[in-house]
Amino acid sequence: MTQIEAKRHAQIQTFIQEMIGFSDTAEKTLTEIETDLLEKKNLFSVFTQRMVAIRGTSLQLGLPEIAHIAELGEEISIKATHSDTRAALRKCVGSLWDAQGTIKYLLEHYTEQTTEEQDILVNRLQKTLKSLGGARPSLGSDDIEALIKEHND
Amino acid sequence: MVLGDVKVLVVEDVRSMRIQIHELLLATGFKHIEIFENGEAARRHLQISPCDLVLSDWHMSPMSGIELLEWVRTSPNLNTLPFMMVSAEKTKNYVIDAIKAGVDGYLIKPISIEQIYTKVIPLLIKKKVVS
Repeated sequence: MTQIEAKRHAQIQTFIQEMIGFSDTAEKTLTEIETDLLEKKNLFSVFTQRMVAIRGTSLQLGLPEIAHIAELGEEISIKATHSDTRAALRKCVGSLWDAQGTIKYLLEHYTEQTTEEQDILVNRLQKTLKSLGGARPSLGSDDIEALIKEHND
Repeated sequence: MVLGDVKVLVVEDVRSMRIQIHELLLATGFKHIEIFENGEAARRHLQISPCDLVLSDWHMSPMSGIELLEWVRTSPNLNTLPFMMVSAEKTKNYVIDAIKAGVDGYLIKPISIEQIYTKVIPLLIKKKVVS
């Protein structure tokens, strides 16, 4: 292992340790939501924030597959907050359990190639998100810079 | 002032991200870097010790990045402090909220040395923090 690889490995280990806390919070949140889907749907925001943190850190650590699943989890949890039917909420909860479990697995086995099983999961999450109306519009660095410039000038 | 004299305050709740940002800043020439885990801790520090630049994550508790930014912009002694968001949050509505709140710059994670050279340092020059 080169020095750079060893450093990255150490950083990923730190992240995995943090993930234990994240996973714990996310899993408790999903369990709590399941007790009353409609009444407790606001708790999905806790999940959203965890997914944003996982996405950002995974991108920083060069783990794009994990970041992609976290992004799908983030968008699905946002949709869940605005869903009004038990069927839609149940679908979101199921997808988020899948996303959470897969992220945990992929982090612990980050050196391994993604498997067909994970590709199927990503497809399923994408379909769920599409059926809920798709991802929110997002901006790239250049768009943001242009907006800031426009606002400040 | 030169880059090595600039006091940077980093606000980030994920430890692995804090380590990365710290290393990137050191590699770019910053020497005075203070790191806080949430907006509230940063706010308390800013009340007693000024800095020259804030790099803040968005989603944190207690006190998110946007809440910290709003507090900075309404604080008489800090309202012109250069403030950049460093976040994976790139949803249009969030970005617009940050701009309305007075953010000076926005770095989307993953952040790189290049972004520090092309976005952070030019902001410090524009704000006349460094020459």
